[in-house]
Amino acid sequence: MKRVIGIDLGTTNSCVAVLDGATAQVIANRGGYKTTPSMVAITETGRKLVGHIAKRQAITNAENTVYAAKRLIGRKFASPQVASALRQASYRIVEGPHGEARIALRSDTLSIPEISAFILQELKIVAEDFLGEPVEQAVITVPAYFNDNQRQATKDAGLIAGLDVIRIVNEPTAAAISYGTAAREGSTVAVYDFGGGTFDVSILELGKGGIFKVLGTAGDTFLGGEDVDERIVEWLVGEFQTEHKTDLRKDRMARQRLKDAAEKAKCELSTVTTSDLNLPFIISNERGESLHLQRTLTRVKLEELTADLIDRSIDICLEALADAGLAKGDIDDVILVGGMTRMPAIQRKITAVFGQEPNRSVHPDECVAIGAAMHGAALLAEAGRKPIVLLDVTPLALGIMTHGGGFDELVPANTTVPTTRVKTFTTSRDGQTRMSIVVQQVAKDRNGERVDLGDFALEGLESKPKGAIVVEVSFSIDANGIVAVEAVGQESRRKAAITVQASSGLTAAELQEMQISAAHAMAERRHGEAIESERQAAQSLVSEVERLLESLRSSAGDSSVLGATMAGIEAVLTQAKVLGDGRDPGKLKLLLPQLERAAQMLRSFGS
Amino acid sequence: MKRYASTALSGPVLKALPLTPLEGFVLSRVDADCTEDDIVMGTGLGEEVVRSALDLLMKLGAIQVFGSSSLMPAARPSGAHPAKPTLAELHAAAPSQISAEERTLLDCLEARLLLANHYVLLGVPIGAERRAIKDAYYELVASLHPDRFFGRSLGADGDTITRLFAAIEDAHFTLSHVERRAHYDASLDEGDEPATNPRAVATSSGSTRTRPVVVAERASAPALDDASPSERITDVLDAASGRITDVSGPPSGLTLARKLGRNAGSAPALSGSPPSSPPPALWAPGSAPNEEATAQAIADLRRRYEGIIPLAKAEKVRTLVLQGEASLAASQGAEALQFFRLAQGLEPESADVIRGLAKAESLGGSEVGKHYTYFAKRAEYANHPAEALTFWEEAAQRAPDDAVVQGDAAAAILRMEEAAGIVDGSAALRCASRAVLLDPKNAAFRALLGRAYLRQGMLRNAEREAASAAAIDAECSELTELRRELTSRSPLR
Repeated sequence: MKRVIGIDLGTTNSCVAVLDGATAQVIANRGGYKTTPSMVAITETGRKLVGHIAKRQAITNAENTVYAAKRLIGRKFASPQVASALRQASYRIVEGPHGEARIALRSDTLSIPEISAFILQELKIVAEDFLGEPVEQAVITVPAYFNDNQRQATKDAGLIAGLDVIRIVNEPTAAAISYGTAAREGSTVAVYDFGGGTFDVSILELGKGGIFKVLGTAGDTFLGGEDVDERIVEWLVGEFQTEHKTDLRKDRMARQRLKDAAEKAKCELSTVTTSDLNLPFIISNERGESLHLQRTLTRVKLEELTADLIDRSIDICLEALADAGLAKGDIDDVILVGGMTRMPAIQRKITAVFGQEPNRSVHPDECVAIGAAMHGAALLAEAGRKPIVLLDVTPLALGIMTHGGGFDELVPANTTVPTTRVKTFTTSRDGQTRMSIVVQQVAKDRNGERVDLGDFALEGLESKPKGAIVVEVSFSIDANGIVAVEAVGQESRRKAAITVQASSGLTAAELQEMQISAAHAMAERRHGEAIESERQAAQSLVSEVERLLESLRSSAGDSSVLGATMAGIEAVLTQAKVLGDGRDPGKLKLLLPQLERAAQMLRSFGS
Repeated sequence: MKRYASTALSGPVLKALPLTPLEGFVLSRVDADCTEDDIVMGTGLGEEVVRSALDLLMKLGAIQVFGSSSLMPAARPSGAHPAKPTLAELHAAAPSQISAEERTLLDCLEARLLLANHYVLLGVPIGAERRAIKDAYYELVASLHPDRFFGRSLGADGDTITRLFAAIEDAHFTLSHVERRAHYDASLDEGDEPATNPRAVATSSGSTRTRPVVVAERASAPALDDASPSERITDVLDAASGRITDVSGPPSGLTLARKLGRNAGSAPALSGSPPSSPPPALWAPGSAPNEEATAQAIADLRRRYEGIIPLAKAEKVRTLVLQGEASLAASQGAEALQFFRLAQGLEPESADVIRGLAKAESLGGSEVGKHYTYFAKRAEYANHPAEALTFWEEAAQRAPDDAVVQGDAAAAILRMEEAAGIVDGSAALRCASRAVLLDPKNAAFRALLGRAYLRQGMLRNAEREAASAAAIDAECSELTELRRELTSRSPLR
């Protein structure tokens, strides 16, 4: 049976899980960590680094290390999100050929889906190593508030990484799935997902027969753990400024060190009440003296710095409740998702607001990936076997731009998906033969962000007086939250030419090219790994044989009886050394039994 | 140089095509009218690649040669659509992989959708508890969610599933909310069109006059927003698969007659190949009468009832009984009777059915008769005299003690027979004499009786009735008519 993996592609950390028997489990990467930093770097020598290894060198290679790429995925370069990332990011963001944001790393300009694909590929390898078989299918999670462009781009990233993305699932919903198997039927739960980059809250009802019905979703795409880090950094910068009259922000490397230290302190303060931040030699002043940063951050201070962020998240919870038509008392359980929810202040606040302790049965970092893996397995499962039915909603209203920049809503926010809505339009001018429709999605959150999904043109209409041509436009959102729009000319019956452009910012050709080059890189990497393991095996044998040969020689001398044997062994050794420098793992592998035989023979002589 | 045009396949069908990203890319560049060169330019791909992609797309029916006869309105039967043969081919090429059990469920639900209001669709009684509604909803969506069919090729059933899922979602959306439900219930009580789902109503786009290339909402009530949710979905599908249904007729109730009529346009999945003519627009004023299609539609529905496999039968009966009971509760005697009759055809021994029939019968003849009057008037309005005739006769039979119904029936039967070119008068005679018997002091009834006599060739009787009528009310319009017929002396027999 083919396995499907669940991937939580996070802003700061990513995680992969697979269904193993009846339960899903998170797979640890080679470093033994269950989550992998969503970071990608290119070294000076052009080597690509992903995950912890990229994070470790981020300070020295800040310009070529990408983090939080998720904030850019599916975004236009001209969007305000990209503008704010431009101010903060240590890497270079440039405009791509289709107006989308891209990242310049060394000599390359990479699209965001490609960056994400590197991370996905890494997770794919982690899963393949664990399972011992190739993995082709994946369920990837996205924040509930992702719009169509962002979802498409995430799907594209999967494609580039060589994964068939069978479903895009909303993160809070995936978390609810991982919780839901243990929950009683008919209960209503709130998922409070405070992630690295986004905040989402979803209210779900767990119905009979594995049904998960989302009653309402609210969120803020500008609220995440990174904002908390940023608060700590600001505080440190302020303190440093007062003490040394030096602005740490001006120095890229200092900024990166501050960010790391802030994140570490934040995590520590979830378990202890004070954390020391020691950053020696963080910067030098104009006199060339090295300055050190040394501060103690208390939990109380951290809570003071971030109180408004937490309050904002609670406000959003209440909004979601109102959307779902529920009161606080209707919630049976609150599930916490995301590393930020380890913060005691958040747990206290939730307890106060909902009048109950949050549920701790799910792992805040792992439940999203686990839920995704469970959903994937349920999708592929034989009929009748533990079905999961997700009745998710679209948190974004879908509609079209009208004259004067207005918004004509066709699918309201919080509509259950999949869904289809149809509307008819007519021409407004005599002899009009072309209609253009701008499809948009609007977020109902406080930012009210409005995103163009694409331009539609229905051409070749019959030339008739205005109002005589009727065109039917249907808008549909599938279970992935991905939008499809189509138009059919009705009365003309002449033709219905439509252009569907659900764009992730990449053309099909570009996508294919990236897919191929990623596959090549993957093969290259696999090849390198294979030769490395053979080489290591050969090397240890070679050194053993050399050692034994030497001792045999010293005890027995070059006696004529053993001379021929020893000469033979020498020849094998030489061959092994030559092949060890080569690139062909196959030949090296063939040589291994010979080396093994030689070692055995020598061992018997020795004893 | 060949010119190509897209056939505008519907979204789900489009996505089901076995295309590589490259072919999809080529497809995305084919619009109204373009040559191979245009596409080569537009994609930046090699000529060979583009040509082979176009060939494949042609084979799959995703594009067509622009200017071919299928694009010319004159060369096509009205109502057909360029995408249709392609869809049929595509469906044929992708056989459905759903199980017998799932097929049964789909059939049942489709039948419910045809017959139904939201309650019937969910399979709950009108006064059902919220809990029961929710349970029923969950049970249905759990079996109909697209995820349950993941990875299976569904052919035409894909559309059916989408439609049913959306209808169930709509039903739950309405019934799960206190206010929306009350509003909907009220609209059911009126026996009129169920309230349109508020969520589905698109908002107005405002003025778009000055925009150079413009999208404007049709000022005169966009047709689809007038329909009930389930109807809208049917319409969406009709339009998507190329059948354009006129839904701009008079605001209609969910009468059985209408459902029968609609059936022709909404059951493409089961009939194999879609009908080549447009569905009979039963209630559209001004449209040509299409009795054949109506009869066909009724026959289709009957066949579907009979053809549904035994597993489905019990469910079907249950559905019909539920609907019947719902109609009884809403004092819709005639509707109830129809439902129980259909149920009886399937399950003559069922106690529920017999009890229901008895209740429906006893609901009061005139009550039932009035409903038939209503159907009949609708049929007449839609210019379907033969059908109206049947309804009038039924109405008269159902309300033997209602003089008004008898009189109306008599007048209408005369009118219908005339329109349909039938020279009979016996049914009218029966009704009119019944009306006169019930209300001897009514000039109009007497005049009608006279006209019926005239049809039957009984001139003397006709003259006698004319005299009696004149004695009561000389100004009666029916009397004028009778006199005109008498003077013209052209008895129809």
